[in-house]
Amino acid sequence: MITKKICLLGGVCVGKTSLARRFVYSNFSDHYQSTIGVKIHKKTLDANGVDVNLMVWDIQGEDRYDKVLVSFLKGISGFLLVVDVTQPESVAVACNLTERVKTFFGNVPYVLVYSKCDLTENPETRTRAQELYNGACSVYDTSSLNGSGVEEAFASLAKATLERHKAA
Amino acid sequence: MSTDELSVQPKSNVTSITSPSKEEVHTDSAAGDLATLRNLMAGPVLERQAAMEKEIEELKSRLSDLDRRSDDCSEVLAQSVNRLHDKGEYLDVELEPEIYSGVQRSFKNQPERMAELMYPILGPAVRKLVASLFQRSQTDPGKPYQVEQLFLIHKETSILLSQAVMNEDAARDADLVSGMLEAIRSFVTDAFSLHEFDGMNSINLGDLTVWVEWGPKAVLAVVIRGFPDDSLREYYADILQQIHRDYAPELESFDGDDSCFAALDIATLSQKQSALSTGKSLLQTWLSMPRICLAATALIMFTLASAVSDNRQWNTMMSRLLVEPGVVVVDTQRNWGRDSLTILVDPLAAPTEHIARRAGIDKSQTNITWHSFQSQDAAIVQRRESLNRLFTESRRAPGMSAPFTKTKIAQ
Repeated sequence: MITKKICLLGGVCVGKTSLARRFVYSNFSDHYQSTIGVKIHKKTLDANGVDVNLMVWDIQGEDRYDKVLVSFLKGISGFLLVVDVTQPESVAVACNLTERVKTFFGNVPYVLVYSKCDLTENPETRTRAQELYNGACSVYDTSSLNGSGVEEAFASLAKATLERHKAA
Repeated sequence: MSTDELSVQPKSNVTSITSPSKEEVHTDSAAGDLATLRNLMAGPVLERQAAMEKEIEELKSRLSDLDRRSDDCSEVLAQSVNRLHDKGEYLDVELEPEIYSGVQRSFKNQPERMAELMYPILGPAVRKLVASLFQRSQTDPGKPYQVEQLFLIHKETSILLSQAVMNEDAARDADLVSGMLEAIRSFVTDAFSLHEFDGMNSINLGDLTVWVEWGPKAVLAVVIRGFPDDSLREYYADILQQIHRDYAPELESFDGDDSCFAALDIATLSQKQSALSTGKSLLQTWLSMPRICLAATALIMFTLASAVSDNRQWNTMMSRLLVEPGVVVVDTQRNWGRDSLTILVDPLAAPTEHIARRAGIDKSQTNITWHSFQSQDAAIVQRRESLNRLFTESRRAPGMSAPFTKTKIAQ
C-alpha cells in the first residue's frame, strides 16, 4: 500500500485540528484546545482507484511568537494550507508558511482550504489570499461543523501526491 | 506584703489590747514581755499566712503568664496522652478529622511547600517501587523480558516499512507509533538545537522499553516488555545494517510505496541474526585462544552448553507443570544423562506430553511416570462440571451421542 505523509498548516485557531477530526473521526467539537507540538492521525482513502494511507500530521498553529518546527515537515508529500474565512490575518501566516516550506523542501503540492465557511465571512480574506489561490493545486470551502468540503479537500491532496509519485 | 509590715500590725493589736487598761503602767520590761508573748502566740500563724500569700501570688502570676502555662502543659502532655492510651481512649482517633482537614488545607494552600517537604521521602519511595517492579519482572521464571514488536521506519518520511508483532494483543497501530517516534525526535532536535543528534536511543515507560536504532535511511524500533540485557542491542544494530545492505536502492528511492519491502520479514531476520551473532562471537573467541587449549575448551563448552540447555528445558517444563491445573509433581530425580519425573494427572488436565515437548525435553532422556487422580483445582472442577452438563444435555437431545472428547474440553 502507498503511504503518504501530509500536514495541516496554518495560523493559530484557524481550525486545523477540527478539520483533521472531521476527516478522520467524522465528528466535531466546539471546545477549543490549542495543539501543542503535533498530533498524528491515519486514514486510508481511495484516490483514483488506488488505496492511499494518509498519515495526517496536525501541527500546532503558527503565530508571531511560535514558529512551526521545520523538522515536523520532513518527508511530507503535500499539505493542506488552512485559512480562516473570518480572519483575514490568517492569510499572512499562510503565505509565510508556504514560503518556508518552499525554502526547505522545494515545490510541495498544497490544497488551499478556506475553513469555517458556516460562519459569516470577511470578504477581505479571499482578496488577500489571491496569491495562495494561484499556487494551490485546488481550493475548497470547508466547514468542520457540517463536514462540507472536508473529505474532498483531503482526497484532492491525496490525488496530487499520487500524481507526484507517478511522475517521480 | 512585707515582713516589716506584718510585724507592725500585731504591735498595734497588742497596744489596743493593753490600751483599755485604766492603769497606765508602762515599763520597758513589760513591753518586752508583751512582745515576747506576741511572738510566741501569733508568730507561727503569721509566718504560715505570709507563706500562703506568697504561694497564692506565685500561682496567680503563673496562670496569667501564657509562656509559663505552656511550659506547664508540655511537662504533663506526654504523660496525659499515655494515660489516655492506657485507659483505651486514643487521641489519634479523636484528632484524625482535624489532622486530615489540616493536611488537606496545607496541600491546597501551599502545594509547593508541601512538595518541598515531601521531596526527601518521595525519592526513596519511588526508587523502592521501581526496585520492587524490577525484582518482580526478574523473578518471573524464564521470562525476564519479551520482545513484543519490531518496527522498521523510513527515516526521512517516518513511514512504516515493515512490522513484526510477537503478541497480537499488545499490537498498536504501527503507523502512528512510527510517526510519534519521529515527532519526538524532531521536537528534541529542534527544541534543543541538537544538529548532530541522531535521535533518542531508548524510551522507558514502566516495564516497557523502546529501543531505537538509527541508520542512515531507516530506523529500527524494538518494543520490549521487561528489563532486557543491553548486549541484546548489538544484534538489532546488526539487523539494521543488514537491511541497509539488502535494501539500499529501495530505501534511497522510497516514496511511500511499501510493496518493495513486502518480502522483508524482520521477525525471521531477527531470529537468524540472533543465531548469527551467537555464532560470530563464539568464532571470535575461539580464534583468539591458543590452539593448545582449543580442544579442551571446545569439550568443556559443549558439555556446559548441553548442561545449561538441558537445565533450562527442565526448568521450563517444571515451571509449566507446577502451574498447570490438574497436575501434581510428586517426585523428580535428576541424574547425569537420565532424568525421571513422577506426576499425578487429572484426566481433564492438559496433556503433559505436550508440555514436555514444548519445553524441548528429550523423551529418550526423561522417564515420566504418571498416575491418574481426581483434582480439586478450580479450573478442573469447572471443566468437569461443564463436561457433565454437556453430557447430560446431549443425552437429553434425541438422536445425539456425547460429541465432546476429553482433549477438546481440556483445551
